[in-house]
Amino acid sequence: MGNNNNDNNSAVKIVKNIAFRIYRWDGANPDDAPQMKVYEVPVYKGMTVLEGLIYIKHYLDQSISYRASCRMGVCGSCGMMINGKPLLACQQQILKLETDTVELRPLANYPVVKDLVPDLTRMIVTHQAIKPFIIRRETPPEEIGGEFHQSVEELVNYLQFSYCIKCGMCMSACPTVGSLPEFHGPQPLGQALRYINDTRDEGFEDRLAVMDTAEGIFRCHFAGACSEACPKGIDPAFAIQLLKGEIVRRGIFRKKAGASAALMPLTQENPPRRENIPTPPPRTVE
Amino acid sequence: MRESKLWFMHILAGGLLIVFLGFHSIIMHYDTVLGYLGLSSGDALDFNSSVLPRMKSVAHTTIYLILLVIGLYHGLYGLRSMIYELAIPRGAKKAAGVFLLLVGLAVGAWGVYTILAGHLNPPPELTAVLGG
Repeated sequence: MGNNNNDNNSAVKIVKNIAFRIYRWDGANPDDAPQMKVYEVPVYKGMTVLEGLIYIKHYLDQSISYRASCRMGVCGSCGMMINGKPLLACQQQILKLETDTVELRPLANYPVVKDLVPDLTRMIVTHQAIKPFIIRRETPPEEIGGEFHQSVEELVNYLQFSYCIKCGMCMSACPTVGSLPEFHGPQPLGQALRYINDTRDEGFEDRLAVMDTAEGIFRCHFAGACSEACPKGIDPAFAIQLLKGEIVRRGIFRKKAGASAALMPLTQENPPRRENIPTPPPRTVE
Repeated sequence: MRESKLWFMHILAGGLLIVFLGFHSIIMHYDTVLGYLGLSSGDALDFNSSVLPRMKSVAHTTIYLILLVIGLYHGLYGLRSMIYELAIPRGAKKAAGVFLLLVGLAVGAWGVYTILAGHLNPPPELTAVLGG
């Protein structure tokens, strides 16, 4: 497209040129001051910010770094600050921004690796710490040999929180994460509720030890910026408030959790697993 | 103590403060409105006719003690939360937390002493006025 902008045979019609102001800084040369470099990008209707970046990478400056993969809002790789807001570059159409300049910076509240690539290590480590997997007290899930029964209502209790793609944009929008780096942040806390609300899970106490600290869940002020930023429509701010209530109910008033999901009896309607179903992969998290 | 317990007490104290400070505002500052409703018991700020009898009343003394404790706890925990959200070393945060605890205990003890002294041993000249 880049060399054929004015080609009559071009498949797309260029609407106008847009200036991309892009944050440039390389963690390998930390003493160099960050700078904003401007690139002129021909934009067609429906073109996304990520496509603009791909254009720049292909035709204007191959040294620019950004992270992207699926290009369809599923992988969560291309989160960045677009005109000051945390957005997925693959979902944001350039013309919908209604500006002649698109300013791109790496996600706020994270260290920068290079240019538009943030270092998400802290979020991933905290996410790992809340144990984002089903915990069974007696028998590990892979040794149970059956399936758990879960009603639609029980599924709805955690379903929206399971849509998280770990893009980290909620953490970037959170004002508390900005001022208190030790705060767990909305992504891990939202995922804690996702598992605590799952009737198959029995790991509340394990997660409580991580969350119930001076810099933990109770530092959330319910600003709600995380929910506004989430590209998957999850409401982590609401999850955190539910989690606070759950911690008070179970941790202080010693209310017991609801009954764990029961194993489905092996009947004709629910037959035993067929022999040719492959076994699940080995656990990746201890 | 787990943070959830400290936080829950903060919320509880906040709820109680709304109730107690609500009554405080109505009794101390809205006596004109109370007068319209026929509930006014005179000038709430008059020392001899209002303040001193409140000091001697067991119910009011109890309310003052509760207000002191919940007000101090709510305020100091709130201040601690703000300090914990600053980008300062963790050791400094813990030191600030301990300092605020000591301040709370000291101010609380002073407040309890003042309230109980007013209740148990009002100034003699005023006791004479009240006929105690």
